[in-house]
Order: sequence, then structure tokens, then C-alpha cells
Amino acid sequence: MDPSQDISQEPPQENTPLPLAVAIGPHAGPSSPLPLPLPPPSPPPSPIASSSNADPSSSLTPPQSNAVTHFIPNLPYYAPAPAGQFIQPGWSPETGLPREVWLNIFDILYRRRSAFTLLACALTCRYLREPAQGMINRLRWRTIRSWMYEDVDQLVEHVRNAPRDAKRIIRISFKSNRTSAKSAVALSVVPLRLADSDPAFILDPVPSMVAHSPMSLNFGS
Amino acid sequence: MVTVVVSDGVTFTMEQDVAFQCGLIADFAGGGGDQEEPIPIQAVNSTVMRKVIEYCEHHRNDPPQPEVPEGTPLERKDRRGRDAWDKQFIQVEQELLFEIILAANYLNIKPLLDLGCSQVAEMMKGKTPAEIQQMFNIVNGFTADEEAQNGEGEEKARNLNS
Repeated sequence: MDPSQDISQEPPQENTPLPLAVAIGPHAGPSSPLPLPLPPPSPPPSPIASSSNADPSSSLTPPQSNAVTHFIPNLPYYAPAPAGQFIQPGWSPETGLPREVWLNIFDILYRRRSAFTLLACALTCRYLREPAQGMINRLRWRTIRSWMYEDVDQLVEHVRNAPRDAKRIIRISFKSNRTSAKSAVALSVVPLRLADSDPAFILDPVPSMVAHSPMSLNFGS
Repeated sequence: MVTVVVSDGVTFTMEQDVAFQCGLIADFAGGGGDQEEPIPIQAVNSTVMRKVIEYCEHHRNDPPQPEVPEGTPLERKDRRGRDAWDKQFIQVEQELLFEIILAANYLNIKPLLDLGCSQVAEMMKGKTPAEIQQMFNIVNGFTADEEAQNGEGEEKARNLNS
């Protein structure tokens, strides 16, 4: 495992995906259930239905609305977003995917520590900014914590090779109170080893860490 | 046996252990007995339903996946439930992939939803915001000020990627 690599390097895929033609736009896909008890003034037509070759008069055509809705309780209804509004609970007209699907995708990116992709998502549109940013914040601390129990030499190498932004995050973590006694000991070693080559790691003493670290006398400058 | 009829009028009949992997169908059927009336699945078309059934049939004998507790190591948590067959199964065109994700979300098939989302995450790796916008046909809607802030953010992204 190499967290510094995971957080920074994500080789592009070879196959460029095709532009999305279906399941995009202000019409809900299959995640947009049928109008439920209080339908909006103009419920969105189903893209599935509109793209199929179904014959409305066919006897095989499933029954409409009422026959279905009574046994599908508790399903969210993704109402179409009014023009000019970008965020409406549960619905993402800009991306074609419901919010919970995006959260699922971001959770996967978080678990893979794909900071770059999460950051790109946060910059993609207003709708995705907040949830993606939330995952990035979680990722920062999770990544830092995951390094705590490794060999100090490895930790030093990780930090030495980390990209600039990651170094900034690490530096913040050094100065924060969000480190355990054990990790504070490990972390206190890193700046000492790296301060010569990277001024970013020349830190002021931090009281909470000084209290934890046996090397506190040498910590920072 | 359970029978469903999808949006384009096609009827599918499947065994219970296949059908009940769809939370929606299991809820409707009440968990027991053969379903006499076809269950209408209006939000899924036959092409997507075939893929869904193919997935459910392959995984019909899988043990139920336990909830992964918070704090489980990331690597172990991310590996669950994704085998070579799944990887092959989900290698579809983007349009179909999105329809599968939406169908899995609608039908409440969590493992298939995770698989589809995992594939989307894979496709987004290494993409810039502009490329992701193009990929999802997203209009960003940022104001001028927000665009300026994004410029700084993109600088960060470049640094992360360098």
C-alpha cells in the first residue's frame, strides 16, 4: 500500500467513454418512480418508456400509475427541478443520476482514496461540490491516520514523495490535535527528517504534540 | 416462480431466489408463495432487465453480504463482492451502464448498484472536471466568482496529479 501514490496518481483510462445519451437530463431514469400520492404539476416522462417501442394499446403494456403505486411505498420521488434551481433533494437534473447514486460513487472513491477524482468531481458542478468536498475532507484524515501505524521509515518516504497539496495536508495534521499519542510520536520524526529538504516541514512546536512526543525538544524550529 | 412485466411490455419469469434479490420484487411479493399476477416494473426496459436477471442468476447462491462495519480496512472493504465475472459483466457501453445503475437503484439491488457505481468511479479516474462534465453531459452552473475559485481548485488538482 502506498497512500501517497494512491492519493496523487490515477492513470487515465484508456477507453474514453461515449457521451451519455440516455438517462441524462431533467427526466428521471428508472430511479424516478411513478408519481406517488401527490404528483407534481407536470411529472417527468420516463425516458425508458419514451425510448422503448412499446405499443400503448398493447395488452402486454403494464397497468399505469395506480396499480403500481400502492405497493411501492417509501420510494423517493425525484421531482423535476424548477428552472434555475440546481439543488433539489434527491434529484440531480444536471447529472442524470440521483443523489444517493452519486454518494455511493463518492464513497467508493473515498474507499479507494481517489483524492484527485473527488476533487475533479467537486469542481464539475454545483450539485456535486458539497458531497465530493465532504468525502475529500474525510479522506484527508483517513489517509493520515492510515499511515500512523506503519514503519517510520516508510512514513518518511511517503511524506517525502507526497505531492505538494498532500504535504500541506500533512503539515496541518502535524499542527492539529487530531493525533493520538502513538501517531504523534511517529509524526514528530517526519518533520525532523524532512525539514532540511522541504521548508514546508519546518514547524512551530505544537503544545498538544509536545506533551505526547518524547522527541519534542527537537521538534520544529 | 415470479413474473414481471417491464416498460416495453416484455414478460420475464424467474425463480424466486433470483427474483428476490431485487428488494422491490421481494417487498411486493411479501416473501412467500408464487406470484400469480405479473409484477409491473415500469421504470426498467427489457434490455436492462435481461442484464439484471443475468446478474441475479449468477449470484443466486451467494451468501448475503454482511454490512461492513465502520473502520474496516479500506482495501478489504473495497474488494468485497467484485469478482472476475462481475468485471466482465459490467463492461458495457456507458449508456447501458447508467441504465443498469438506475435500475439497480430502483429495484433495490445493492450489490449491483455498488458494482455499477464502482465502474463509474473507475471511468472517472484521472479525468479533469471538464472531461467529467463532458462524460455526464453536465452543465456546471457556476457563477463567475465560483469559476474563479475553481481555477484555484484546478491548480490543486494539477498539483495532485503531477
